[in-house]
Amino acid sequence: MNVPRIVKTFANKTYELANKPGKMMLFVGATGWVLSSIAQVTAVVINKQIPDDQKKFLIPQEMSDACVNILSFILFTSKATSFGEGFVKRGKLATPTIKKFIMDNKLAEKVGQKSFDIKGESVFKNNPKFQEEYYKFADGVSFVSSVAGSIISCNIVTPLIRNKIASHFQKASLAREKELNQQKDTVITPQAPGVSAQNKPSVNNYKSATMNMPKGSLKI
Amino acid sequence: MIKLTDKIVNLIPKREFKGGRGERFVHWFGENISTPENRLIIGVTALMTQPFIDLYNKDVDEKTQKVSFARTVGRIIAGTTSGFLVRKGCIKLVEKYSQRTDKPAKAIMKIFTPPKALEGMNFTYKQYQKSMGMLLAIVALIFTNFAFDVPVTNFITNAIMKKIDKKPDKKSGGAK
Repeated sequence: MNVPRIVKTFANKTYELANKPGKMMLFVGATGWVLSSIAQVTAVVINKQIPDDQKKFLIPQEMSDACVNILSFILFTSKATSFGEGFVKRGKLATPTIKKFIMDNKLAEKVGQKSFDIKGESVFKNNPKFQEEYYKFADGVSFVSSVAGSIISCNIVTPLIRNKIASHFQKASLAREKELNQQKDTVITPQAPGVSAQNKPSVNNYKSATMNMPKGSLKI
Repeated sequence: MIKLTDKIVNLIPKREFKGGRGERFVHWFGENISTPENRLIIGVTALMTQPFIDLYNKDVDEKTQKVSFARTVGRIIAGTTSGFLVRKGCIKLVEKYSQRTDKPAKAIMKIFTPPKALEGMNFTYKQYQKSMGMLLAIVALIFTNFAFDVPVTNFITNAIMKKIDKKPDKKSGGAK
């Protein structure tokens, strides 16, 4: 069986990104939230047991949940992941194996410098055994910091912000609905030409008009 | 201009993990935690925070607070269950059908094997299998979000609402 070329290309591209778990989680997370939001809005719309007033809050809540989640993920989680990765790639956070590698290859002076990246050194690229050890530690740090950032962004920051947005939309929607209902309740009658707003026909106006009519002017 | 993250990394001093519990935890985390477990962790922690943020939301009326609470619980349970199972299933599928090129196996068992994969590099290969599994999970989630999440979320929401509605309203002194 021949594997299609597109599958091989896709597999190769994914292999290149294998040691960037933080970026992968960001992409997967963002796509997952958008899909989940679409499904959950559908769930609210089709659920007949939820009253319309509450739907006016829940639908904006679900939509803003995805948007805010993605934004807060970028601001908090990816920053947290960058911290973790930054510490390890500059040698500021190291295991004894990584420290020994740094000392043996005379890289100690570069540790902590902004431009220093262990992965960029030629001695790293030529040492597959050390690369495995390095990635075991670096990926672990990346995951730990990513999970910590996710917990803060998804479970605290996002619910607070999306609730504010959703309640704003609910209040605006309810106010608009109230205004429409008030307009429907007001009697609006068509006005004849020459009839001003002040002289709109009404029962009292008719009575007073007939009382003031000259008597005997109507003869059958 | 130095980025904020760079500035903070510069300020914090060096730290060496000396082979103790910290290092073992980090290694274990990197090797065993992937998106399915991450989804589970986020889901469990979400259940401890999000429903209560909704329940005590002062910007809405009491009825909306309760409906929002019920829906959030239902959404978290449905989403976490399907998210974990789909991601785990897809990763297992990729692990089965991405046998290394140097291993004797049928062609179909290597459908997800990347031609570029280097020999050895077992940890990187494992990370690749997890990444490919995550990407396949996105496709599967398009279906499960509607086929599973929607009905299960509504079921749990309505069940919780029924229980909440049965309880006497404390503010009105027990009268319903």
